[in-house]
Amino acid sequence: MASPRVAVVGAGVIGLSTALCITETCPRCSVTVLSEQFNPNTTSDVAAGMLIPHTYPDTPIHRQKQWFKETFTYLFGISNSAEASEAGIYLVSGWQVFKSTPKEELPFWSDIVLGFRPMSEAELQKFPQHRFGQAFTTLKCDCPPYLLWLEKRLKAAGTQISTRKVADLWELHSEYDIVVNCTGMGAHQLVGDKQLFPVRGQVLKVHAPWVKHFIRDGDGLTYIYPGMHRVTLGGTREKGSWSLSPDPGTARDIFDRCCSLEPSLRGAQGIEVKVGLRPSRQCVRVQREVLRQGGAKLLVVHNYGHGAGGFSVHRGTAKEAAHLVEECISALQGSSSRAKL
Amino acid sequence: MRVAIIGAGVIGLSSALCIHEQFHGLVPSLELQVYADHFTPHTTSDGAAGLWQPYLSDHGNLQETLWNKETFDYLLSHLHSPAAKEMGLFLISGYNLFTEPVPDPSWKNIVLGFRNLTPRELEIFPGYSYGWFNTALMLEGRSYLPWLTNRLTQRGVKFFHKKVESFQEVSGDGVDVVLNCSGMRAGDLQPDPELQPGRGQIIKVLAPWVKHFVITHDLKSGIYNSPYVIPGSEFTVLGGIYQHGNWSEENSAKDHKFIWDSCCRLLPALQKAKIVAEWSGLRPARPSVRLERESIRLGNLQAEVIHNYGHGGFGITIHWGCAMAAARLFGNILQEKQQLASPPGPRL
Repeated sequence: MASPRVAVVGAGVIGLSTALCITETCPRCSVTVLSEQFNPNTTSDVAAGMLIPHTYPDTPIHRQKQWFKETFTYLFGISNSAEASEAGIYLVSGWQVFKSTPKEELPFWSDIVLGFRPMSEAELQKFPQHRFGQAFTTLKCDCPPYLLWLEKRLKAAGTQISTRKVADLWELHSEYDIVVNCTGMGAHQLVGDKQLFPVRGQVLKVHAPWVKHFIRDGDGLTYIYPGMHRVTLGGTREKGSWSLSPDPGTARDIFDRCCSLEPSLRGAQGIEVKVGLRPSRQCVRVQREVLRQGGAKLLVVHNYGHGAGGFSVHRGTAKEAAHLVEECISALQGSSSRAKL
Repeated sequence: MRVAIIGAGVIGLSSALCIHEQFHGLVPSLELQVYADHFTPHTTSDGAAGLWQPYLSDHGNLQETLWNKETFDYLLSHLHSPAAKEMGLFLISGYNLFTEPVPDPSWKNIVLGFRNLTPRELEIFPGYSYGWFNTALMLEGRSYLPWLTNRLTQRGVKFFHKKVESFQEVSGDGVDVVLNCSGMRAGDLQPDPELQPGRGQIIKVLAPWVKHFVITHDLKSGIYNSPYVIPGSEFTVLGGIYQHGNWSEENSAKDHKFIWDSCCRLLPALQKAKIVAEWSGLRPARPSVRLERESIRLGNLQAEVIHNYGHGGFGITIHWGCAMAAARLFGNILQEKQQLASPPGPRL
């Protein structure tokens, strides 16, 4: 197969990074990104992009650790280069604080982030309602800059990028050899995955440039993540809610919770409210599948269901998906040479 | 009781505030007047990045270490107050980098979370093999000085825009105490060969992705002669110049190149930072801070002068401890004056 035609459906962080990995592992592939939404209107644009992993209950820990490590290493290299500001990647230090001591004192990722250690008594004084804490340095991935940067690299690699709503993967059968499904929450409808469910997250984006640290309550519900231009204040985890409309009562509640962690936020300006649906699943679906209809078959690689942890593992899962695409290509070449006999 | 304060940088304004806070209740006639040739945003304090960090070694000057600690603790106690934003006060973490192991600094237990850098952290900074990480405070002069000015104005303190040429000028007319907070120009009021300029130059850039301070040290070339990057609330300050004895307040192209090239080598992401301003200032450097009383005979009058100058590159870091020490000296003067005045009741 001279130039396998690959369609990547979805242009959030997963779609774009998967497409980029495919151009890297398979330079002779012709890659096209198709998506209904692009930055700044993807779920990724709502997320703060902090590299603090979410734990998937049904994915083996070593695999999650490998994904996170690959992602961290990749972004770490960018953060220390001249491209860092364009890509929106940089280091941030801060604290994860707990009202009661967590059962797991050392999360699986503690040796991947930098300088991980328990907070001192003096540091905990800043959080009178919390009794235990962890200090560390990690990376932040600002969107839209990161998505724009990925798009720029894709275009340089010859990738076509088009706005298109794909209602059925079979639509792509005649034009493409392999379809990569990075549709996030869209996979619920597109491939009928009932194991995929939304976890609604509402956030505020505020102007508070004196906030230089992240602060996160270990319960995952309240967090403060400083971006280049705005600080993301969160949040909510509403399992099963599909509503994309901002809720004013929730907004006030988020603001109050964040102000109790960081009182100086009372002076924040320019509050914007955003909502995203985390595409959640017990395990991330990075998997090959062969769809059949009549006598036809369609090779699909899935890469969706990253829930609250998309940014943290995006590069690791993108690389895995790109390897699966390679396997698909080998399978196609195998069957085409068989067909020639 | 009239007090004249010479100088409206961080030292002059904070000393004035400290004295007024402590004594206006005890001395109903207390009247404070601030005289300065430069006010915010044109003082040396306005040019400083505003990072709380003393020099690496206190050279056995424990008094200064104590004043630094008092300042840090005072600021930390204001961190969660509604005034913090207006004061330009916020927490900041960052890196101090060395090419060889060094002893821990005098301030390691004053700041928060002080620790050595891990090997992976050092990978961020090729060429540096040792370092510290800690959380400290920023106090931005361009916010703090206006905040101090507002507090003083609310308290009825008067400001006079003039270049004071001598203590006589301000000490006549019923002024009992003069606070000499004239920083770099103290030598014009009273010769002090120990006071020398430590010229600095900085480049202000827009680099909102920089969330940590990064200060490098070259033990051979001395403090602040090695690149440093300090992010503020709006701009990031790039620096790395300390020229002892250089009185020039003109920006130097050679220094600009040194700062820019060395900071971009330290943090490659800075190559895309947009330059918005450049500034040179003179750190009022002295082997130790001059914080002491002096009785000055001026004609047939005697004036008490409290000197509070020579804070070098750590004025913001030490200012409140010095202000409180100056206030204590003022208290001593008050006590002495009361003893000289007629006693309130019969004495045996």
